[in-house]
Amino acid sequence: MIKRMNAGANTNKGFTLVEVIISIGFLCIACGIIIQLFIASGEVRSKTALKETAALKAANAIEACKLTDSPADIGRGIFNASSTDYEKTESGYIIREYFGEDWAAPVEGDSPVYVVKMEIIETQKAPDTVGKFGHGDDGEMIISGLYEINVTAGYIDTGREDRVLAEFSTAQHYVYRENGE
Amino acid sequence: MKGLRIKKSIEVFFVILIIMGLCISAVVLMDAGKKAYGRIIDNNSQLENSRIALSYLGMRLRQNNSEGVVYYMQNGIDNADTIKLKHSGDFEGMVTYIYYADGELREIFTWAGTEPDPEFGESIVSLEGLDIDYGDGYFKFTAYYIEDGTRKSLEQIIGIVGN
Repeated sequence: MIKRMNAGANTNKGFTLVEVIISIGFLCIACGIIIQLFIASGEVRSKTALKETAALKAANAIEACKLTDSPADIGRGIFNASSTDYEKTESGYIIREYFGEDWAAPVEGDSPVYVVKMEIIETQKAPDTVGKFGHGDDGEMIISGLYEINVTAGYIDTGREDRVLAEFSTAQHYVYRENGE
Repeated sequence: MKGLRIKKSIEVFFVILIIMGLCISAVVLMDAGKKAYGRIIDNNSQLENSRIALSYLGMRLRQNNSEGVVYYMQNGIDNADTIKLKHSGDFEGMVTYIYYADGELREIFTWAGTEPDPEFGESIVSLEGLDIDYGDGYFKFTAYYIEDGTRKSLEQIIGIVGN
């Protein structure tokens, strides 16, 4: 027995090149998986940051809407007019504010990447809450209206499934004066 | 016999070479990973700090959003644009000043009428920069942060009742 053990201890046998290559291969696969995890965590982080910024932009738009005296004033004053467009719809307005890379103001010549879209919809039609219910002393009409304001912030590219990054809604009541019919 | 020895020596040499290559690439990879991860953490921390600052300012203004409570002081404490909040109830006669100085968002809670000492400003969060603008019925805060060596900003608008 002792003779056999001694014979085993004195054996000069190590790993073969094939065994070493195989173990290195396994090690490389394990490293690859770990690197993939790091990359995935970085992507999640940047997506989260993008969504948080979109939420902040949408919240700013809602906050700006609350500061206005009439629906026609929404989007004016605080936002950069050169990067904003207005669209009149049957029930209200659609306002779009455009942004460049990283939600910064768009650089001239570069195509905008992100958009904050504000949809202002006249919701209540009851005569006591909405409509032309009187005239001021100067003949201007006094309008009262309840409006629904939907704000979305996301990519301009309409083909993207994850186009909308943040979405908020609020209701706003306006009483304001308007010239003529 | 001699040929077998030479063959074994070459085999050992290749094994050592491969292991050395592996060790060197592992060290290089770890160093690159450390740098990249450190950069990500640093970027993340700066961005989070700017969000914390905006969130804190928004919370303080919304909590105190009533007539005659919120004031804007241009070139206030430490020559920085400052927000002054007048307290009521249990803290009647006290005021809070919120401002940006020495790379930090700071606040001082003190008696109304006393000159606030910038040295007693309590740090809220470290920031690359902060602009406080007051418009018609709203505050616009711009918090700056550094991402991969580029200065970027986040904006927040808070409407207020009056000042």
